[in-house]
Amino acid sequence: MFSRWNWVACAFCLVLSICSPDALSGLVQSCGHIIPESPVLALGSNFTALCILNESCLDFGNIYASQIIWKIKNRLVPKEQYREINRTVSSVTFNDTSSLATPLTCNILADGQIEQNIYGITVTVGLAPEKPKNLSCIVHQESRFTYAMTCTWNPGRHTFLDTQFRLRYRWPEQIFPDCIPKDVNNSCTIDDSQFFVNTEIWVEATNALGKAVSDPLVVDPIDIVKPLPPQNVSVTSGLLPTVLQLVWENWISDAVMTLKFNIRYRIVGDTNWMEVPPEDTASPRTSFSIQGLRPYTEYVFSIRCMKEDGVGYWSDWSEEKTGITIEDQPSKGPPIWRIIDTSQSPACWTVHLIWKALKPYEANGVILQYELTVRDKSSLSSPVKKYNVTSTNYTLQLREGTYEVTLIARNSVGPSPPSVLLIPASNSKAPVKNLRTLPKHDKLWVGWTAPNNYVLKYVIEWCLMSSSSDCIIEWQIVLGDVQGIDLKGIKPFKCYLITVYPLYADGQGSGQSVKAYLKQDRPSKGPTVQTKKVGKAEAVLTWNHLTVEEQNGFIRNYTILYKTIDGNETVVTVDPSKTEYTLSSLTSDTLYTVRMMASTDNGSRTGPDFTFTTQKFGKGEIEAIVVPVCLAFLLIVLLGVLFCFNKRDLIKKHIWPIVPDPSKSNIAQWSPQVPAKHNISSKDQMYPEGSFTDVSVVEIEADDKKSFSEQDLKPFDLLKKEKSTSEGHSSGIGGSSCMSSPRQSVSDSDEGETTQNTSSTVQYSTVVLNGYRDQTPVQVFSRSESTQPLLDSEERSEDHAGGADSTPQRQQYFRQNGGQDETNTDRPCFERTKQITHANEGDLVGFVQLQISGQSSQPLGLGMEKNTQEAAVSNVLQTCTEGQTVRPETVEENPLSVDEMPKSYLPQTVRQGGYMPQ
Amino acid sequence: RALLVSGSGCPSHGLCRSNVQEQTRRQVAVLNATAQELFSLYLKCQGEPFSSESDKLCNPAGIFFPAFRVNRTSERKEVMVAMYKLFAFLNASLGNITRDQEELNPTAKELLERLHNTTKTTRGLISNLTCLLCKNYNIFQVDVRYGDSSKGKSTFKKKQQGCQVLRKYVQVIGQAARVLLPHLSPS
Repeated sequence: MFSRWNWVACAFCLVLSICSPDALSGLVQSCGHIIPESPVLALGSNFTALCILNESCLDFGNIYASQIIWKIKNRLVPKEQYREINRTVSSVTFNDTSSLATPLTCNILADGQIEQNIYGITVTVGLAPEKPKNLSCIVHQESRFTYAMTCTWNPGRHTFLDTQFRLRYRWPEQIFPDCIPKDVNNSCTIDDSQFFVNTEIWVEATNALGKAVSDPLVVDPIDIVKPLPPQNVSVTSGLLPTVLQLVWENWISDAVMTLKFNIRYRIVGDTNWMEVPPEDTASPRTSFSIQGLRPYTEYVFSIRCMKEDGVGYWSDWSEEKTGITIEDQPSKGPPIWRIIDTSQSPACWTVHLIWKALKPYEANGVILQYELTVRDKSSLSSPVKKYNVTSTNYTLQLREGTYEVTLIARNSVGPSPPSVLLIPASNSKAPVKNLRTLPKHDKLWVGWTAPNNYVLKYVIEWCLMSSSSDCIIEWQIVLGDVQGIDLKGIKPFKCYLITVYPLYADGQGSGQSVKAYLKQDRPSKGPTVQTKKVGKAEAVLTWNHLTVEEQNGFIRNYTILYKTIDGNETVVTVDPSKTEYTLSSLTSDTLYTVRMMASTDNGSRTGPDFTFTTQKFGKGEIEAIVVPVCLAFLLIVLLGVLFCFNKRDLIKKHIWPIVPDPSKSNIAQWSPQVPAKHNISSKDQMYPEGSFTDVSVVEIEADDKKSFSEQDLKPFDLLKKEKSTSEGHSSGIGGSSCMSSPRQSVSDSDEGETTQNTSSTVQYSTVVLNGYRDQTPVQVFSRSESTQPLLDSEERSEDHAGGADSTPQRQQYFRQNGGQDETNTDRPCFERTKQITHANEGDLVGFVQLQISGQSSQPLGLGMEKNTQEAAVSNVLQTCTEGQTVRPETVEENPLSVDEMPKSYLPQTVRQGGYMPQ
Repeated sequence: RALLVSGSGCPSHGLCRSNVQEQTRRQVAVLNATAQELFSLYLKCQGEPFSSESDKLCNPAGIFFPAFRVNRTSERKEVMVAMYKLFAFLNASLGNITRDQEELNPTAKELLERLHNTTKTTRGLISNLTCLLCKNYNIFQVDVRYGDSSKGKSTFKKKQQGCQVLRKYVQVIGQAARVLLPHLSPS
């Protein structure tokens, strides 16, 4: 408890000591201080600081040096570095100042716990300046009398301290003010330097840790001058076309410094400078005449200078000045060439003379005109023709022959030497040999081997090949001793056709041509392939050559790549001259994908895919199958025909049963009056012998309705009504009427009453409504499916009947007597003649066809079911088909008596393709 | 009054090289080459009556100018001393003239520039002569007399004094150049 109160009292005393009247009179008085105060330390050196406590603090707070702790920033310095010198002084030692930082503070621990700062110092750590090195100076001339000397040096390492550099210089007996660099530490400029005095120059670098001095540089400033370039440069033309005079002024008088010069010049537009030999301008001067220039050429000049003895620096180049030389005569004649057009007539040429404008260094001035002279060498008497031309081409109409063309270019000074071109009749001389090309960067070199004869000149023609336009020829003439030139302006990836003609003294050699590329690329597109013909195992592919614009190089080969959907790709290389190729060994009925690639030296390009399917059968395979099959079929047919022919009777009997021809019936021989009283049952009287038995003919006066009783006519009316209202009845009949017109159908036509309408058809199916004569009519439906047409005789009969319209038409009924003897059979048979033999035909000559109309005839009362009827027919076939006599059909369900049974002589359809006798 | 060459030893022996003689000759040659232009320009800049009455107004007979009584046959040492006295006087006089012209013709840039340049050259020449005298002849002290100061004089007097000094300077510098040539030519 005491101790605590004691420390509180001490702290109070400490505060009082700090705030004592002495402190209040100025600043707060500290209880101690550190020595040294704010030191600047060399990096890496050792350092010791002392903290000295004031005696007053000892009295008030019992503070002693043993309680001192040192801190760097807020980091406690290890106590091993402390040393208590006495009760008021504590020291701390740092073996390496690189571990120091600011601030370094001295503190005490009051009561061992409360930390109280006593004092703090700022510690600066850095390096002493290094000796400046590489001191050099240059004197820049700024005006006629002003020279500024700029010295530069290497300041050395960074010192981390404020380091001052100063440039000092002196004469033997005079030291000048220092030059202090501004914003830099490695250069300084002395504005007023003096020539012809040895000047000692050095650099001093100074900071808190020391001073370093560079090695002195002793120099006469006149030896390090960089003068101003000559001024007021002018260029004047001389009297000669190859000379220009350059005049200038120097900034430095010869008394101060004599100068030498460099003069450079170039042609306007050219980038390459030429230089006057230095030895020609090594002496002081203010003018110089440049010789060997081109006439009428504009030159650019520039000049620089330096001290004559070469000690010092070259000035900058002066501003550029231009001058132009005067004109001179053209140095050579224009290169001339020709294009001969003989398309109109071989004997009459259109000669296009073309020549190149002289280059400026050849023209030596402005070409005012060209003088063209044409002399016919084949005719000495022909006058020489002269033309003055201002353009560079001229077209002449010449007859076939040999001409000498002379061309002269003229400027204001004079004419050029003549250029001579011989236009020969033919290019029969020897051509150049071994024409070849070689790309050289952006130029295309063309070389050739000279012919054996002496060649005056060579003409090199070249043109850019195009598929869409004509080749525009460019040309060049070189001397005969040249065997290769570089073609300029050649575009890469373009095909050029190059032709070389040798020109001899007496004519012209034929041209040799070569195609060339400056640079090749892969084709811009691939060939489009398609099939020309596709077979079972082969396919003929065809394609078009790429255009010259698309090729981009020489096509070295085509490559065909084809494959099936799931197969490996097959590659075929094809010669580039081909446009067709046959793929073989293909699989039949298979889808193939094919594409084509064109290749140059620099790459390939593939065209679009094309698919095709090989055929299933090869050529001739189908024929090999079809022909034998057809032959076999024909053979079978032939055999069938032969068979049928052999069995024709049998077949005919089954398929085409003999239908009795009513026209050949001998019923006509019968008396018309007989039927009314004819006894149906007495067949023996009607068919005494022969095929027809029991045939009765009933004559009915169709128009003579009055001849019938009212009773007889009623059933007709009923029938009409029923047929008009009963579809059921007519439907059955309709089946047979499909082969005849509805009007001919009994059941379908109300107009069937007229005999004319019905006379053209033989009704094989008849509904007989009225009873025979006075018998009670029974409604009977009988059906025939026969489609047999009317016989001619019937038609004619109708015609006859039609022709007798004025007379009442008589309807005749014939009846086939089913009347086998009733005693012979229990069943009545309706017979009809199926086939009429010749014998029967004779018997039937007198027959007149009887048109039986449903309306006018009455059924015989055979109201049996159809099936039953068919069954009956079947039975009949079994029993009544012997011979040519048609057996009567048996009707079982109406076992009427002979007198009562209605008789029908209508042909009936049998089930199996025949008309069975009823 | 005497100009003291400081110390008992030659100053900056490293700077007193063999080329000092040639440098001295070139300096005299430069002064000789530019003296007439300087004088003409001075007259031009002073205006009338100096530009038209220079012969009369600029006659140096009445002013002090160091005697330069040496010739090509004189001893080299004697020549060197005479030259030292001459250029010490000129350096001081040119300083006065320059100061007066900066006051009287502050816009005469070229004149001032030439005066500065000439003064600077004479200063270098003195440095070189000091070096030669010390190194070659162990002469550390030379009696030198300077001209009258122009301070406090009228403008005309200032101009006239300058004119007189420069005119005499043109005459003497030519002589000095001629005398110095055989003595300071590279051997």
